[in-house]
Amino acid sequence: MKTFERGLKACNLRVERGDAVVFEDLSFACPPGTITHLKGENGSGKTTLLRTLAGLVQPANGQVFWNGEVLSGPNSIKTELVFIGHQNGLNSELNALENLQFIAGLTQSTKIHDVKAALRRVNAEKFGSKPIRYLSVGQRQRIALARLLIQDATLWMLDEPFTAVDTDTKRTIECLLEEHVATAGIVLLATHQEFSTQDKVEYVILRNKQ
Amino acid sequence: MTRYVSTIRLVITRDVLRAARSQTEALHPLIFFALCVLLFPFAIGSDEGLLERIAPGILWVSALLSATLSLEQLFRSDYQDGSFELFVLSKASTLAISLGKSLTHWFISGLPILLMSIPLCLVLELNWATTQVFLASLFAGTLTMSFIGAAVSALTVGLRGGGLLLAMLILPLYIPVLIFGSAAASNAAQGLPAAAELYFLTGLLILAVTLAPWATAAALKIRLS
Repeated sequence: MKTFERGLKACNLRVERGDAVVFEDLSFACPPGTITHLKGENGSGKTTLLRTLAGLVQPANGQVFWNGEVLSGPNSIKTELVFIGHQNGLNSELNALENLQFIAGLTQSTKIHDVKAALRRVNAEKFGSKPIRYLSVGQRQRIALARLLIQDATLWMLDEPFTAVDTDTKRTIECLLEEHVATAGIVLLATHQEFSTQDKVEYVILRNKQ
Repeated sequence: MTRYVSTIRLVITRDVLRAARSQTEALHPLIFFALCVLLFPFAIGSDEGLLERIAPGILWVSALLSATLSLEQLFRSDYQDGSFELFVLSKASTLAISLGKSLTHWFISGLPILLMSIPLCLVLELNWATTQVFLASLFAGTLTMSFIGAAVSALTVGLRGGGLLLAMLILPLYIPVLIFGSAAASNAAQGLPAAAELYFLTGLLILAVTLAPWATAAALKIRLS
């Protein structure tokens, strides 16, 4: 496979929700080793774009390419993807350890034994044994981010990863992003906040249609 | 193949643990089942032999309603907390996850109903031969209902009025199970052979196990788009 084809590419994407066009003629590329920051006002379609790129939403027009092949659903991309949406995929009755072990098992991760280390990295080991429903939003977010460390995936899609987290955690996330990009990973994130990494960040700006 | 099995085991372990923690999920439908069965003797009165004749029907309808009641919860927390995305976007096969979720429903709802039926059969004065046939038919029936139910549950989760919609969609689909299930038990009560009905129930079970997980997997994807 030619090197320039690696990574994620969007060509002339047009996505409709009901009768409304969310965005159209959107083209960009995310080669390995880059961070792409999706910016835009509330309701401009950042989440929809992420879901389209993950293969969950079918575009009305245009195509998404993953490593040079057209994406026709989640199946061809899911083996190399971590997707953390607004809801973080943590069951509220189970504790962090149980949740992460389940996720590691489900994603057939080779890092299944590193769950505790991952919790330590995001500074969440202290509340690792409490059921998720007793935790604050920021604490939950930290545990969700531990998923990045236990799922071996090239492509990270994060929807508002900085919501409700403190400055230390924000710094940890920035470090994680840098490390991932340094190992030829790809990061796509939608956020309103500015963040600092030493790596170059590409921007995709979405505007409201109305 | 081993991956399929490990995914199924993973889903069942997680969900049974979840249900054990929240308790209400498994306990409420079970109490509903027992109460539903126990209401009939009060309504029917002490007519000699009548209760014994209609007991299999009472048990079957109550089991069916109770299984429907617990279906709504099967995917609810997964839909709300974003596990749906995880199911569809993880390396594990969505089909194996669907199979695991269906079996989970049987462990949370079908198995307790099956166990609770034993004392209830005694209360309704079914003889031991009838009880045995009834339990065999209930085993196949609840398993079939869990598999069909998981597909409809995945399709209706999170919709407005989803619970009622679920019941309206699912109850007609349960009619074949109900017909053969209660026929098996009432045949046995009259001393007639019940093998044919049990074979039919097994056939329905095989059909549900092989086809319904595909529908559940498709429903999971549909609900996300």
